[in-house]
Amino acid sequence: MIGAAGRFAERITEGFSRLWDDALATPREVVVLRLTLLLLLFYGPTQPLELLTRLLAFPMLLTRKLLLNRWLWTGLALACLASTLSHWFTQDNHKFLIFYWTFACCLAVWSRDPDRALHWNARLLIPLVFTFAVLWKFLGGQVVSGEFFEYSFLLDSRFEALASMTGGLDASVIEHNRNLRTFLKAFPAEGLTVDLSGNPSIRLAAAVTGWMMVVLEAVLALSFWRSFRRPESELHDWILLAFCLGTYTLTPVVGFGFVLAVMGYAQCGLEKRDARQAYLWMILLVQLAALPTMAILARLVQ
Amino acid sequence: MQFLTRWGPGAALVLVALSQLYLTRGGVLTPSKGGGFGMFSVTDIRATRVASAQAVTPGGEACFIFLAAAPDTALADRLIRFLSYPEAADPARIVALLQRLKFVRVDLAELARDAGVRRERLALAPPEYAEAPLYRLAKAHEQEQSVSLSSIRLLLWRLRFSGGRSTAAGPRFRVELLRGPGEGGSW
Repeated sequence: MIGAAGRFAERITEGFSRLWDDALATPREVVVLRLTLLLLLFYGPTQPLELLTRLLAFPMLLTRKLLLNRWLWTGLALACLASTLSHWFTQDNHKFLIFYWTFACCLAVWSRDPDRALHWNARLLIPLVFTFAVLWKFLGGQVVSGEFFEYSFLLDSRFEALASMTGGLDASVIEHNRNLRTFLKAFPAEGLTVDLSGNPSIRLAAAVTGWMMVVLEAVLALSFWRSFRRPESELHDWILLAFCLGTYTLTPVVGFGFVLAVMGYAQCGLEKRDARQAYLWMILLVQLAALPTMAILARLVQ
Repeated sequence: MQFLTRWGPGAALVLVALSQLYLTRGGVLTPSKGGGFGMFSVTDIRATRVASAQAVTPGGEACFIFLAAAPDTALADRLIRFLSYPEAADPARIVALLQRLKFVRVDLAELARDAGVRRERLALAPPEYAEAPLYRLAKAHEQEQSVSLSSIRLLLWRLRFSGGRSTAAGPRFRVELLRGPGEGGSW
């Protein structure tokens, strides 16, 4: 039975290996545009533009002629823009990034060299995202003080496994804290205060986690800015892959991990075969965030 | 590469992010929205904000309205926007939508049950909620016993989180009024 399972696993690995070989042999801009269309099909504009986006994107996936059609990409970019404008203050930040990337794809197919345009825009957008993310970590003050992750560990079930491992908190404490929050939202009154359950270990873990996140994002931003001068370096690719693996396989923001991985592939040098393959794997791995990965981890830890 | 192709998407990102930085001054736009990439940085998020309403009953009594589970999609969309950035949601329009809806009177225990609050927490409820009538939006089968409320005042609250290091008592939430009121009718 173990032999059969091993042979099955080997076949799957070989299958993926052949798939990636085919993908890596395909012109980069074709792979990137197809991945972007998949991104838009699953994580693109919300209703009422979701249907229009799917009607445009699906046929574009089927033929190369439609894939590079300038007017269809213009339609997609306009759909993303309209969706962004109507959900400006309510949509998540990755929706903005998906719009910028779709805009870049639209400009790329209108340009003389789509691959160069996609490569450049991916290389510019990624460090811009993380520069602003790091800026907010300091402006907000709550990540560097530890308060943000203390809040997350005490109330956010996505961090239950981490809270359990680092501070000995279990699901009942998180539930207790969440119920107190629900109470305050049901009966708000100026100055009303409730004490939450926590402990010094959680506070320490929160501070450490916060600084780790700040340092990782700052290193990521700096490595990408540095790559403008040292394009042959692979450091920024592996840092981005590590960030995506650590963040988006555990927290359910699949769209963010997906678009970062697509942009990572677009800016990855053609000679960096391993990194390019890793980006393709990352697009699959971030889908794990759709599973209750953290809940499973929490159960295993307890 | 043409100028727009080279700089367009990046410039759009920077412009939006800088405008979001500006709009979050004063703490009204939550940093986790608006395209500034401030998510996972502050605890001032939609989950720690709540909209509530006060009203005057047909009999002239001041009462509270519990706004969760808005059945009307247009109202729900506006309330979500109100939580993130009240100015963009047009509070007067929300009040106008509420004035067109029907409400039923409930007691504290029922309200707590609907909200998912445990019974033992009711002892912590501010006295004004125990003393004043409480209303929630009427469901489809409750239209006969429902009433309209013409004078409505909309409020936006924030639950400010303080970590254990900054308070002697440990981590806590403190409720503060963030925006209000948006009013309709006569007060």
